[in-house]
Parts: sequence; C-alpha cells; structure tokens
Amino acid sequence: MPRRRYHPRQPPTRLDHLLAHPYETILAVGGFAACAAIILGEIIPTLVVSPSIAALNGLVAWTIGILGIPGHALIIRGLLDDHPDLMVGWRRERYGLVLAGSSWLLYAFGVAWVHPQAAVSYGFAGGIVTAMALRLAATYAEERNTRAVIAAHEEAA
Amino acid sequence: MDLSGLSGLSGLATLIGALGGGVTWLVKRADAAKTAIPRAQAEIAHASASLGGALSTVQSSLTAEVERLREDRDEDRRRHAEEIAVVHARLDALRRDLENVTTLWTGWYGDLVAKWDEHRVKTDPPPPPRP
Repeated sequence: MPRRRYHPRQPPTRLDHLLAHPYETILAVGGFAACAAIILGEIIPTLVVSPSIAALNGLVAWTIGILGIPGHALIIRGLLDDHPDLMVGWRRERYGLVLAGSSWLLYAFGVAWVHPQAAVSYGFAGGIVTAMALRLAATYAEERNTRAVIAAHEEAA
Repeated sequence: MDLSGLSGLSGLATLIGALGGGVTWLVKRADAAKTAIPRAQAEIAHASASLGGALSTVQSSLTAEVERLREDRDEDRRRHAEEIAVVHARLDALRRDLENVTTLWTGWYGDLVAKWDEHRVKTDPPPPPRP
C-alpha cells in the first residue's frame, strides 16, 4: 500500500508488508494453520486438534476448514502483493476476508453452540470477525482515497 | 466426514458457508467492473498529495509567522511612538525652561547695560537671575 510502508523501499519487501500489517498477517497465518489442522482432524479421526472442534458436527468442521484455508491464504497473498495493479492485492484480500470471516463466524457460533461456557473462545473469534469486517471496509476506503488522490493529481497536472 | 444427524448447527454451517460464498461472489462481481489502479501512478499521486500537504503546512506556518512579525512590528511602533511622545514632552519642557532662562538673562543683561552708569558705581550690582 503506498501510504502503509514503514521503509521507503521499491518494491516493498516481505518484511515491509509484515511490519505494515503485523496483526493481520500473523492472525491469517495462525488461522490458516488452524483450519488446516481442523481438516486434518476430520480426515484422521484419531487426531484431536481441539475439544470444541471435536464436539462439532463434521459438516461444520469441514465448512470451517473449506472456507478458512483459501480465505486465510488469500489474505496473506493479498497482504504480500506487489502487483503493478493495486486492485489485484485488494481483490485477493477482500475475497480472503469474506471467506475467512465466514469461517471464524461459523467457528464462533459452533463453539458457542457446543460449549456455551467457553465465552473466551467464541468471544475472541467474534472479535476476529469484527476485525476482518473492519479491514474489509478499510480496503474500500483505501481504494476510494487512492482513486480520489489520483484524480486530483491528474486534474492538477 | 460425519454427515449423520444434520442439526440446527449444520444448517447454520450451510447458511454461513453459502453466505460467505455468495458475498465473495458479489465482491468479485463488483470489483470486476472496476478499472485498474496502477501502483506507480498511485504512489506518485500520494507523494504529490503529501508534498502538497507539507507545502500547505509550511505556508500556513509562514503565514502565521509573518502575522506574528506584523503584530510585533505594530507593537514596537506603538511603543516607540509613546517613547517619542515622552521625549518630545521633555524637550518641550526643556525648551520652555531655556526660553524662560533666556528671557530672564536677557532682561538682566539689558538692564545692566542700560543702567551701566548707575550700576558701575554701586558696590553690589544686581546679581544674575536664578531661575
């Protein structure tokens, strides 16, 4: 992102992207790993990744994994994007945020359903869903702002 | 994959899964209609806007500084005018004193000259005035 770099390097390095979006990148990597573990847990019945996930219906666990794996991967891909068209990175991140947000939303509802006393787990998942919704809105705000700045620059030139 | 006993939670999973897929499709469709944003152009435009903002900040800072200098200048002028008025008043007073002394001495000297024959025989001629 033009205004989100901490070091004026051209093109930005992976570290620059990570420093510009530390929480989002780490959460996406963690979410990807968790969703992969959930799918593995469904494929290998003896592998229990979490008591809450084990208590969920298989369809729910599969849905969480199927939404979450591409979702988190797309978020990471979008955040690390260096494509000459900024829309490519935003587009990937947006698809990822919707898919991964749906995955976390389902996880929150699922855990609340099977373990209503685990408020920290589903509360944290709800927080991640909120953060992803805000980031989704932020990508649109950044796009609008960038288009407006380019239009103003072209008008002034 | 255990699909036995589709519960309400399974229905919710289906619903959220379908919603997630549907929203993604909507986002994809909306974004497909948009034009590209060249990264280089965006960076140049943002840099230009930043520079414009910085120049605007410098300009407003300079304007404030000029205004402050003008206020200081006006204050200095007012103070100097007051000081000059005080000095002029003092000069006027001195001038009046000088005129007074000059008048007295002129009168004393004229009297001395006019009545020189009388005064020169006196043992105590009139002393010079003491204003």
